[in-house]
Order: sequence, then structure tokens, then C-alpha cells
Amino acid sequence: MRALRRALRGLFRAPREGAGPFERRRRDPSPSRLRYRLDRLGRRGYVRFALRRLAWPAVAGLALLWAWHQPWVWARGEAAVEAARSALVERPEFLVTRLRIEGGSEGLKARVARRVAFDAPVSSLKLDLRAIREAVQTTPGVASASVAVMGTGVLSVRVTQRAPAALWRWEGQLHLVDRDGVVIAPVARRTDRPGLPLIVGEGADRAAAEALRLWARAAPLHDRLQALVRVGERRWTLALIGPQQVHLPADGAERALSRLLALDAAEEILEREVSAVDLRDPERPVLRLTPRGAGEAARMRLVRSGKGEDA
Amino acid sequence: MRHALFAAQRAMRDQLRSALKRGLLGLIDIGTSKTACVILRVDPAKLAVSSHEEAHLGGFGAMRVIGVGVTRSRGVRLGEIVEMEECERAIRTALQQAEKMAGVRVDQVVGAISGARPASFGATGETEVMTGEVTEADVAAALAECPEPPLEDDREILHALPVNFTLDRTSFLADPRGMAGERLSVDMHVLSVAGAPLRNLARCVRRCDLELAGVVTAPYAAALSSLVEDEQELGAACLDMGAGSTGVSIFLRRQLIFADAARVGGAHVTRDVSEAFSIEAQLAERIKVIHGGVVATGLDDRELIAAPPIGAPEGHERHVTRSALIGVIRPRVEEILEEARALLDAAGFDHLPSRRIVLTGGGSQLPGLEDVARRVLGQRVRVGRPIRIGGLPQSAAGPGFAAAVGLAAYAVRPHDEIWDFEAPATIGGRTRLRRAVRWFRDNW
Repeated sequence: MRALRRALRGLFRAPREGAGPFERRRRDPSPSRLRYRLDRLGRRGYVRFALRRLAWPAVAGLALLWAWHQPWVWARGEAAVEAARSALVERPEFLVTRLRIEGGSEGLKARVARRVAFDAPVSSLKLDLRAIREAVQTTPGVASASVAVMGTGVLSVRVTQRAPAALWRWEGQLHLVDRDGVVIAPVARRTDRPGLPLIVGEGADRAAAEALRLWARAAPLHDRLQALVRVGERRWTLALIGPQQVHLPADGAERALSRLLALDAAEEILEREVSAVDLRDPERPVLRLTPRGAGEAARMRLVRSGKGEDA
Repeated sequence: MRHALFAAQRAMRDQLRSALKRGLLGLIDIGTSKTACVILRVDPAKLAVSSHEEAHLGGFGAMRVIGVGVTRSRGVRLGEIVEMEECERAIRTALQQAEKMAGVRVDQVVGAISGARPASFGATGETEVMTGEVTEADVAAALAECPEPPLEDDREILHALPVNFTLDRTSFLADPRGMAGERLSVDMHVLSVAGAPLRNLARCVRRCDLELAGVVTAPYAAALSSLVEDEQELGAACLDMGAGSTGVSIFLRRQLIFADAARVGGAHVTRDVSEAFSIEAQLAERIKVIHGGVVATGLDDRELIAAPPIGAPEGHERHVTRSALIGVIRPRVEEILEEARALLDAAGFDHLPSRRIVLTGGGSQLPGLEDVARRVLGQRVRVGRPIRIGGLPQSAAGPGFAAAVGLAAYAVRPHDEIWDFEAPATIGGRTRLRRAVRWFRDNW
């Protein structure tokens, strides 16, 4: 650059009078006023500080600010981050190739596998174990689940199956429920599960535990007990074949049932013409007779009063 | 002497004081042939100690040269600025060079002015000592009692130095403060210079964004750096042989008692050489510096110097003998010395107890100058070099830098010019009463 300028100057300027060919006119060494001022300004303490300590951070900050507002920088940056991420994620050390489900019946395992919808191979970094566990736990019939990635590329799901404890009829459909009233699976017919108690009515599932306790207490009546009916989400009514009904109170249902069993054992009241036993008032159990029983009773009263023979 | 005369001097002294406090000071010697700029770093603490305890050392230990810039002067003739723009550029060049070397920025500079027709006056003032013991106020009062020198048109007082104090009948006192006595009289040396060159210098310096922290006449500065302590004490003259002017200064009892400048110098020698052999001025300068001399010997007839005349065609060669060169140089040198001699005679140098003469300045480097000077000026002549200051590079330690180094000596020595003393309170009773009344009116 400087050589070029010198050559140009030599071209355009006529040679100086009296100057030899090898003599070059020396440039004026004095700085221009502007250059002098700038030079002296640059020697001020605060200017030196600003140039040395603040200039580079300021330039870097401005550049960052500019880049922040450039969409292509964002796109480029995100792509780079994604590439780096995937390069890490796709490493064979992180690959999960198999799903192993432990515990529970075969049907349950199939349901869980369907629910998890695991498509191998996938990187373990991409797996959301919490979501998988959530999915497994919300599968009907699963009591609890633990999900873990094993070192050998196996996604291990450990499932505890819910034990069916009762049948619940709800809106015309039979459901299998466990001790806590959680629905496990639908059941087609009552006869598929003859050994389980049947509970009926709205809210019966939530009170399944109480129903099971009543069922256990009512063991002598098992051959006659058809269902436990939840009434008004408050109390139970035992539906016996006959049809007979035993109305239990909301509080102290078990005690009332024990009393009934005692009465039955002593007086065999359920063998008699009774259509309903109302135990809701503990002071005063009430029996309702069947129409035939009622007629018999009226007749017996007449006989006892001595008029029946005549009638 | 009215203190109001010295407002500018006081302002410059304030600048100098602040520069010394900051510890950075620039010195600019604008000579006819070169402009030199020296940057000093001064240790203020050391300077304060040295001014109290080692006054005879003059604070030299407290300063150090950290930057030197030298460039060719343009636009200066006979020690006076004749082209502002060119001179300003020379200052900028030299200052920037020095700042680059020092790596700092200086704002205050002390300048030397070599021409400007200095003129010395003596003045005597006398006062009653107020408390029986001389205080600074008494000294100031005695100084203020000095009559003003007869200033012609447009002249400025550059130095006003108390030279001698007399207390009652005891004379030759350097510092009468604290001594007992009744009448204090002071002899003062007042040096005035032409106002226009001084203002030009100030303007040039200001246009370079610098503050002027003092102006010293170059003969004084050169003597400060070139005379050794005993010479200053016993009495000696210093000839500062510059390019445009030859400064003469006389010291006695460590005080400058006379300074003047002859308006002839080394540049005239160069011009003589150039004219005598009709060669270019630059070549003449070069021949003078390399081959010049003032005492011819037989050998010089055979020493040939290439000196192509102006406008000679290429390849044309001409040689002059060294004796011819000496024959041109010597009359002019003798003339310079005789001019100086005349100035010394006018100052009464013959009556001094010791009549030593020290030659310094760039012109004193001519070989054989001492012999010629002995013949013209007397036997006690020597060629002197400026004292060494720490950090001064070898290239700037020659006699040509006597004035620049002397500026450093001036800056760090104790200042006792008239404007360094407080103006004595001269307000009378009526003024005082009026002021009191006005103060009451203003405040209540």
C-alpha cells in the first residue's frame, strides 16, 4: 500500500530541482494536528483504561446483541445444539432395545406393553421414565409400578397386579374391582366370578372396603346373599334371595349385621315370611312381612282371638 | 514594583507547582536549529525533602528524564519564532516523540526563549523590619519597594530575582528570614525581554494543547546546567553558543546577575561556509560539523573536502581544503566571541573576583574553539557540558542540550522570584473601613 502510494507520488510529481536521482525528499515528520490530538488523547488515563479494559468486552457485547437479533444465527445455533445433542444421545451406550415387564398376569403384561407403546431401539436419554411409570400405573389392574433402565439396554417395568376383591355393577356393566374399589377390568357375566361378592350402586366402589368387611362378617349368609347394595352413597342394604332385604345403618353396620346373624341363629328370622329387616334404628329393628306372611299373621291373630274358625 | 504586573507569571508558577505535584513536567527548548523536548518525572516527596535538607544539590536526585524528543526547528530565526505554523509543528513532533518514549502525557511545559533581546537591570528596595525579626512578609515588602526598571515599549519582565540581601550593615545574605535586624534592603536583578517573541512562544505552546508552566531565558538555563557549583559561587560567565544567538550570563554567589544575548551564532557560520564555497546550506552545515575547526595546521592544507557547488551538473566534483574552511569559519567565530566579549565588558565582568568563562551550547563543539576563546576572552576559559541527569540518553547529553537540561535544573530548584512572595497588604485605613461596611451590608 505504502509502496504503491510512493510510486504514484513519484509518477505525478515532477522531480525536484537540483535533487539527484538517488536523493529522495524526506517526508515531513511532524504529526498533523488531528493525529497529535488523538495521540495525546490516547495517552489520557481514562482513555487508556477504556481502550484496554472496556473496548473488547464492549465489542463482544455489541456483537452478541447483533447476533441475538439475527434469525439465521438462532437457526444455525439451534441446529448445532441439536446436532451435538443427537450425537450424544445416539451413542450405543445409551440405547434401550428391549422392554421387560415383570409381575402380573399375561393379560396384564400385554395391556401394560400396549399402554407403554415402546418402540425399540430408543436412547435412554429420550425416555421419560416418569411418564412411562405414570402410564403403567394408570393401566387398569396395576397397583404399583417401578420403571428403570438396566445397564444392558433393557427397560425394566416391575408391576404389582391388583387383586380382584369384588364385582361392581355399575350402569348395567359388571366390573372387577380390588379392595380399594379400583376398577381392574370389565367382566361379562356374574358367573365368571362366582366367588366374589357383588356390590351394586353408585359409590359402592368407594366403599368397597366396608363392603368386603360386611361380606366377611356375613359368611353364614353367603349362599343366600346376592349383592350388597349401596343406598344413597351412605349405607348398605343386603339383597338376599327371597327376595329379602336387610337394611343396614350407615354407622355401625357391622354391629347391626352381627345382631342380625345372632337373631337369625336364635330365631331363624330369615327363614320366615319376612321381606325386609330394617336395622337402621339400633333401638328398634323392624321386620316387614311378606304379603303371605302378613295374611298368615292376620289369620293367626283371628284364630287366637277365637274368631278365626268361624271366618 | 507592582505585583499586578506579574499575574501571568503567577499563573505559570501555579502550573509549575501543580506539574511538580503531579510529578510530570515537559521542557521545551525552541532553538534556532533544533527543538528539543524533555519529559521529566519528578518525585514530589523527594523534591520536598531535597529542597529543605540538600538545597545545594538543587533537587537533582528527585528527577529523572523519561522521554526525549529532538527535531529540526523550522520557522525560528535568531532565537525568535518567525513562523508560528512551522514552529508549532516542530513542537508537536518533538513532544510526540518524547511522549512516545516516555509513554505518558504531559500537559505542562517549561519553555526556553533564547533570543528576544534580554536586558538586565538592577534594582534596590529597602524596608523597615516590622517585628525585629525578618519574616517572609518583610522580604516581600522589600521586594515590592524596588523601583520598576525603565521598560521600553512592549517589554515583559521575565525574571525578577533577589540577588543580595542586606540587613542593617550585614550584606551578602542569601536568605535573611529569621534573622534579627531593623532595615532590610534587597538588590534585585530584573531581566526583561521583548514582549512579542514571548507572546509568540506562549501562543505556539498553547496551540499544541500545552500549558506553559514558565519561561526561562536560554542563557540562564544554560548556565544553570553548565556552571559547576563553585563557578556559580565565585563568579563565572556562561556563553551559550546557539545557532541563532549567543547567550551570555554571569553568575555570582549562586545568583544570576546578568544575562544578555548577541544576535549572532552558529547559523551564521554555516551561512558563511555556504556562501564562501557556494554550496547548499545543508551540505555546509554537514561540512562544518564534520570538518569544521578554528585552528589551522599544516596538515589541513592537504585535507580535501568534497564540496560540489550549487547547481553543479551530475558528476562534477570540487574539493576545498580544510584550511580554507577554517579560514572561513574562524573570522565569524572570532566575531561571535568578540560580540560576547563586548556584552561582558558592558556588564562589568572585569570587576568580578573570578573571571571564569564556560563555553557551552552546540557551537562550543568546534574543535580548537577553546584556544580562540582564550585569545579573545581571557585565559580562564573552558568548554562545559551540561550536568548529567538520571535517565538522560547519551544523544541528549551534549553541550547542545545545555539549555534543555538547564530548564530541568530551573524547575526543581527553589523558586524565589518576586512573584513567589505574597504581595504585601497595601490597603490603607479608609479602604479597610469601606470594605468592612460593605461586608456588613452584604451579609446583613
